[in-house]
Amino acid sequence: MAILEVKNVTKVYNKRGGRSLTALNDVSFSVDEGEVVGFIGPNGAGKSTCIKCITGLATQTSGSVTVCGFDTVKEHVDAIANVGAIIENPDTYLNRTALDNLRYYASISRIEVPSGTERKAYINDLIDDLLRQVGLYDRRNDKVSKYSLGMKQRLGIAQAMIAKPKLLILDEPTNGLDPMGIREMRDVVRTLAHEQGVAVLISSHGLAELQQTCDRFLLIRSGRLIADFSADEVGEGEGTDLVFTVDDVQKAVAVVEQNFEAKAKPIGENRVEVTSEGNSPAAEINEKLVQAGVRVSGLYEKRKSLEDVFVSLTEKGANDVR
Amino acid sequence: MFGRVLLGEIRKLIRKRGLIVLGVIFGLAILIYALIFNEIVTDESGLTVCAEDFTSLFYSLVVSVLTIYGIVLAAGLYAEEYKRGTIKFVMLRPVSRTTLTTAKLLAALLYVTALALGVTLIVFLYGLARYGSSGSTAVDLVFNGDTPYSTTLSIKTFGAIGLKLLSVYAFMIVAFAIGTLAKNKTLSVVLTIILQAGIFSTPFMLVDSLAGTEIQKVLFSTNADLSGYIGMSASVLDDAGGIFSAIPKGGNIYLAVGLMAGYLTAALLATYLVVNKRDVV
Repeated sequence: MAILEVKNVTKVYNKRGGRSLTALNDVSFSVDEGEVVGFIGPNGAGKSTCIKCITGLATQTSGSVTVCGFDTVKEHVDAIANVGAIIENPDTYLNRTALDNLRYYASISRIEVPSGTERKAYINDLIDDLLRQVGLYDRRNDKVSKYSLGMKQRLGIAQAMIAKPKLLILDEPTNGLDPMGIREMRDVVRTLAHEQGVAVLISSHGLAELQQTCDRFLLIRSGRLIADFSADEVGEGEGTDLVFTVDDVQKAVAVVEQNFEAKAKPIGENRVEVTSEGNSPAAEINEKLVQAGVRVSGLYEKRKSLEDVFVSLTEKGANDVR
Repeated sequence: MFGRVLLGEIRKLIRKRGLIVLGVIFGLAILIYALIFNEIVTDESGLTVCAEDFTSLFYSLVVSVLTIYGIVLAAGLYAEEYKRGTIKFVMLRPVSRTTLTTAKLLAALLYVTALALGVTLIVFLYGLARYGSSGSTAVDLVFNGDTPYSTTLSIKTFGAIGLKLLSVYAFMIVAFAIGTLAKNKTLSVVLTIILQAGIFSTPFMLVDSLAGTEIQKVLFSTNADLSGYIGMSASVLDDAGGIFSAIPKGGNIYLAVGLMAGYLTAALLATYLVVNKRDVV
């Protein structure tokens, strides 16, 4: 079931002097229950604008966004009651403690308290659990102004999860987090999605991290959604890279480029990366290299990473891809 | 939900450091004022004073501080949240922007009211203990500059305090509107204080050719304090030794109330409209 549906959303900013900027152009996608979707694209592609339209911080010029069936413009309060989000920086109240901040956000959120449970006690327990989950419990009474960026980020994540949202939107959630924090973040997100059915939309430039976290990816460029592909598709498709370990890199590059329709690129002192369209003739290349007197001591296939896909798709024209 | 939002906004205000500074200022002001006042009346001046006089005079002295504090407070209600980025997490809650705006303004007005009433109560109780009350004493006042009426000293004293508090509210609403529209607290404070200081009306008082005009009667600063229209504000002597009316030329209380309602409604409408339509970027 789709938790988030974005339909034909266009956002135009009117600038001074009568000029206008189309930040989003007819963008449509959906995110299902329990799905973790990575939202990727170059700087200025429109990711943040799209997220702001989804969360109601900005209003789209045309098109519609629904969360759990509620229109974010016409039924904003009901729609946003199902959303938890961090957008850009985790700006909480610096002169207050983490505990105070979360109590404040809880007080103005729609939190369902089980019948027979006292609201205040329930929320206090909820906040304590969240603080433990994001590793801030021991520092809960410190003012946020004393926190590092990573700790502020954790607090931001806690505030996003406070009302147990059905849709979690995380814009650069791993900013400032150390490797341990990033791993914990990944575990939290995957647990929320796969065990509690939360739909998650993550926007990040940390592609390696996203590749490990997400089930699906949306690629946006110049305000247009240019690709929508599953995590399984990453590494598949046209072209494979082969990496040869050789004793003479320059000679190996020359042999490959003379005999095959492939690009060869030296990597360091003794490795050559060969990129070809279609199936890579590993055995043939190896044979040619040996025949030319190049000693080959290693060979492996390099599957395309999300970063490779990102670079490849963003370098291509939008129309070529869709 | 509105109650919880309002309570949240009040808590934000209570945690501001400015409250401590203001508390110290008011505390010192009360102390110094009490000492000076006591010195004057115990001098063989023949003055007869009461708690109402004591309170009235003190309040007229501190109302300027209260107004400026209220302006600074109201100017930053949204502007500071925009500047610090905290507005995003607030607007990501299931609270309509209309509710949020109302809660913010109401919280500030309640907060300033509590502050004003608290200070007034302390001063009045001190005056009562020290000088006793003459609250039931009859006083003659002039309504709208032309209709004499009688009331008691208590009503005059607390009526004037109430009306001056209304003028504080009026400037707070203007500061809130400017601060929110411009997303700039400093600009709002400066503009509202200029407005409050009556700088725009000064030329009409000082320049003879302008003094004859009736422009003053429509100025915001002239009408914000309505106490003059019901004879509750202090009058001054003119050059000939006569009483200088607190009512501007051509003005009357009905026009003043109508204009203030119009100005404040326009300010509030603009604020609600912009907050509801503005993208948070």
